[in-house]
Amino acid sequence: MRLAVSAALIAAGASVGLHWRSAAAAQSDPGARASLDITVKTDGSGGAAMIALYADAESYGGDGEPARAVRVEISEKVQTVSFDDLQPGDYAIRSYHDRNGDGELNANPFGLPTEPFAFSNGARPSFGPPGWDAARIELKAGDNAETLDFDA
Amino acid sequence: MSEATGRAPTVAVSRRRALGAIGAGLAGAALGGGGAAARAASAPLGFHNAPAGGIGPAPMRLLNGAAPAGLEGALYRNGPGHFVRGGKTLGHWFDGDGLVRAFRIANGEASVAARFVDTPKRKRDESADAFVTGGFGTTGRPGAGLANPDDANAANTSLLAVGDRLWALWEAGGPYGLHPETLSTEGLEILRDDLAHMPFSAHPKVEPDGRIWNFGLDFGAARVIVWRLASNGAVEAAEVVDLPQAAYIHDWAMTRTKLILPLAPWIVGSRRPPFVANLDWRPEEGMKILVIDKDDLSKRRTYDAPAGFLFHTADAFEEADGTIRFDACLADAPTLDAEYGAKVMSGRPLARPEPVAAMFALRPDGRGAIEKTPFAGEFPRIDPRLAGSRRARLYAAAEGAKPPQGSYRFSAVMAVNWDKGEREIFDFGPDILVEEHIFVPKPDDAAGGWLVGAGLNLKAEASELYVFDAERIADGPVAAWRAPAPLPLGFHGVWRTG
Repeated sequence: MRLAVSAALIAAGASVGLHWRSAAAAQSDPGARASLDITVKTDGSGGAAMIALYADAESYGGDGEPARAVRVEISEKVQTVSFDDLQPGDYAIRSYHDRNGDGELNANPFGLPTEPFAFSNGARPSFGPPGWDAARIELKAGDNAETLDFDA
Repeated sequence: MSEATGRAPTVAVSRRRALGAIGAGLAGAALGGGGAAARAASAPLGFHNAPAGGIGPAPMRLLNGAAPAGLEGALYRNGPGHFVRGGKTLGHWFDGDGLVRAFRIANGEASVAARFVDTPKRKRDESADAFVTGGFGTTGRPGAGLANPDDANAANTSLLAVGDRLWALWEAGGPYGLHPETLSTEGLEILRDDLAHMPFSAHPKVEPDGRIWNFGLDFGAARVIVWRLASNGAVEAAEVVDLPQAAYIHDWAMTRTKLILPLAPWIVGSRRPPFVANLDWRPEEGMKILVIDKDDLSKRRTYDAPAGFLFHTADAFEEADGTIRFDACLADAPTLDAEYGAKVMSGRPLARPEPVAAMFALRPDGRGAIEKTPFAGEFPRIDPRLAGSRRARLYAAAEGAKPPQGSYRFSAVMAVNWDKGEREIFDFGPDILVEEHIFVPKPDDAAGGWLVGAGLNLKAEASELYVFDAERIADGPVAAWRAPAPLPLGFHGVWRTG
């Protein structure tokens, strides 16, 4: 019975997301900028949270690179990480807790993730990963906050 | 494979209807769970919600006989215990939250306790006061947040005793560990990190030395995982095996050297819930029976058989010439499909395919035969000391001469003797719904044993516990006790001595 999102679908977005548009390229807009403070909740079991921020539905869906991505070493149950100097607008996050630190979202032999994952806007999978509309968050000029709860 | 019914067993039948008339039921009110008043008007007895906190432990009242000397331990049983939320009934009997019951026999007395398995599914549905979690025959609510199959795990089908724990089993996710004394939930068992959320069926097979084999079906993908565990639950091996068709499989069988997967032509299409709605009955394709070497899972052989459906096997063994035999309760078509699985909970009479005791023979030359008896029954069991060995008897809950009026038809216990070609039956009559009875060997390597099982007395509105001498089924229970409340009908159990 496959109730879940496949690991491949998540990995397509999240685990290959360690390259992003340079800040210089994104700074073409002279207007006000946005920042995003992310609270990362895990079981604190080590490894790293792999977080990828997407600026449009296509890249979020696996067809394109994330706007930003970060790897957060996990040592505590609640940690924070920030993305700064973002163009205000709609974004969505795919992320997973790389518990064993091998740089991949591990899956069992039937393709279901064996490591925790999280999406922005508290979106949860429902027989597949949540779509852009469910995970979308609007970043306004100035400070924004979001929580990724891997232990939910 | 031709179907052979030539050796139609002669019938040695004894019908009695004694127990239902003995004594009036104790009031269930003391436990907060019993009595019609506590049940939703739409929920018939047997498919009624158990109290959220479970029941007991509470003493059971001896109805007749006496506990046999040497029978000390507990019959643990599992089965759905919650059917109605927010005024709505579940989509399928198989989706009710697991309620684990402990019927303990000690010092000649019996007691009963029951607790729900504390799963994320139950918590989610409880807080929503609705069946928001999708399942076998329940659609669920979009966005319910199912990250993996264990988020929908009802832990409601069977139990396995592993070391000092009980495992409550479903079939599409992992086992839930329970404390055998308190029945409290200790949590999902991750058997190995890289195998988290892999399916572990409700019908593991245990070798006489304690080694555990199980399969897990990748629903719709024509493959299973085959688990091999040490008696303490440690994973020795886990290997993916491809199937010839994407059949639904609930149970399998095992000889000393072979694994047998009966693949009924109930074929999976889509993988979205409700899963049962994606199952397509294709009798024209016949049944395939996959036989796998335990020592080398790449050594496989497939037998073609006439179409048929079975939920449950009894066991399997090999004969000197290499013939493999396994017995089962076999029907002409699925007995709890989407329609029947929903309607059965109404309690109203339901005409549906009936499983009968049947013996399969798979010959070394590739041919086979099915010997079908006329004896309708379910929940087949054997003497566990003879697992994988040649043996004569299959025990099962059975249809009596005058079945109950509702949707659940078993009101008797039978022993089919394949060697003698006959059966014994004890018929409780239509007021008692008979559940699975399991074989408990006599202690100290003594020959024989007891059948221990539960029933639901519709007149007394109370669950009951029965002990039979396994050699003398027709004589009726040597001991019977009544619980102070009715429990919903359950599926499978396990005996734990001591």
